[in-house]
Amino acid sequence: MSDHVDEFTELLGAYALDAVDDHEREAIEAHLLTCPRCRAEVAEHREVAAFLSKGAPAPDGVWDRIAAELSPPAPPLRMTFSPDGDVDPLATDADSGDPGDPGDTADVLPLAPPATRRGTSRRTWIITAAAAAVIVAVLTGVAVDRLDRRSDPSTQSWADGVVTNAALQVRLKGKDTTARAAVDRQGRGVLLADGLPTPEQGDLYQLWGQVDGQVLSLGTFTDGKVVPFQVDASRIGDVQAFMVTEEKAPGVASSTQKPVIIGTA
Amino acid sequence: VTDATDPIALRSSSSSAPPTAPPAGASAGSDAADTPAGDATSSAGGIGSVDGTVSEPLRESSDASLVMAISRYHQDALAEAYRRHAGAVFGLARRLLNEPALAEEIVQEVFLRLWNDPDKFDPSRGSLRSYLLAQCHGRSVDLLRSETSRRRREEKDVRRTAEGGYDLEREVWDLALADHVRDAIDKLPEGERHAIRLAYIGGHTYREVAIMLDEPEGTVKSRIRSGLKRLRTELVDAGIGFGDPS
Repeated sequence: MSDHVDEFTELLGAYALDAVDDHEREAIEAHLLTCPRCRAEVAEHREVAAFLSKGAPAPDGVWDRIAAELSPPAPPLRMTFSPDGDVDPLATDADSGDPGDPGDTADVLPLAPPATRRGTSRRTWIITAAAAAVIVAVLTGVAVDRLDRRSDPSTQSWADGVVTNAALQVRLKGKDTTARAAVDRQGRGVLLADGLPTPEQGDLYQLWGQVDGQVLSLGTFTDGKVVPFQVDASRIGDVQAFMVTEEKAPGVASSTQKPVIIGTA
Repeated sequence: VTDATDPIALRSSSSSAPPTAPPAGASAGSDAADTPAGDATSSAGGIGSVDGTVSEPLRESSDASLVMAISRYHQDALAEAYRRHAGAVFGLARRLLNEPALAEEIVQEVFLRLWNDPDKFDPSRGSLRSYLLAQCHGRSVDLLRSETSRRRREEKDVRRTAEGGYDLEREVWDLALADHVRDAIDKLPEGERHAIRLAYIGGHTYREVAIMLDEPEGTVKSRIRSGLKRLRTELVDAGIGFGDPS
């Protein structure tokens, strides 16, 4: 058996240089799966091999061909907060100079390219949301959807189940109220925000999740008692924050409103 | 929790347009590209005429964080990775394939693979450059060994042999390697040097190399391995740091 291993190790140099036959390569790769030491040796050989050729100017046009193959960039969703302080965007409520652009908030689609707000004298905290294609990949929730459809009494026990089995719990705070969000291992989420006042006529609440720096809409609701939502189960660990904004119905693709409640994971 | 201010997350949002191509000739052909496996981040400052859409934070990001941004679909992180490494990838592919058009296809393939499958790169196992070059080498060799080109190459090899052996130093090896790299290579025993050159730059299997050098197969595979180890030591002695991914 040890001869067998020696045979592999003697081949590692040739393997790292792609200088083995197919059947040898298969055998070595099977071995590498279970042998960290050999994997490390191959990596070392490849580091050395990287010195064995010199660079050339990259040819014209290749990048353009690559870029053309990339999934087309969808317009970014953007959510802008204008906190007065560094830490808590909700700490003070005095700055209401930017009540949100009605033109922005009224439409869900199409998404307008974001205006650049950096460099203005006011401190702005700009969080980006993903392109539409990315939303599908990252969060399986419907971008703008009604979330209060589960408002029947049975929902409460369902919500209790999510909370009991929560893989992630976030406490959201606002000026006058707090709320709780929980996500279980399957990515089923629930927001419990019955302290939120009824939104103004023609308004609704919109729930947002920040995942890897991207802010994604998780849906809209009017009654915050039990608000179900869904996130990709594989990305639960990447969730950084939840927040709720008040928007004109039927909700917006990007918000310029200050969150009424926000909480970080 | 403070990742909202992650420069990569912020900066990539600023362009809804696809990342602008790095000026291919100008940037990738610079010193950075000519220093194989060199520390791209440290030499980035020397690249003057770079595309303006790649912001400073991205420019200064480590390769590992570039790949992380790529996994989050940040196209200009890919553009920056391309700017840093495409020249090296292209150089190797062209060296192996001897056909610029094919080499370009390899470059395209290697970077698209990085885009589609960024998780394949494990920063704990080496630098991004060595990863990309390994991908490039593997694909190039696959092409080389495809039936038609294999036949063509074997004919050429036979002809070369008939014409009186190999002038490896000139024909196969890249004389424009950085001085310290060439010095290190020159310190290798001749047998190791030839075996590594024929395998890596020639794209031959060790069995083919054994035939070409008229040595036993076992000797050749051992020499490749021992030569790579020795070369590593020489490069370290020459002041080249390993084990510092990104």
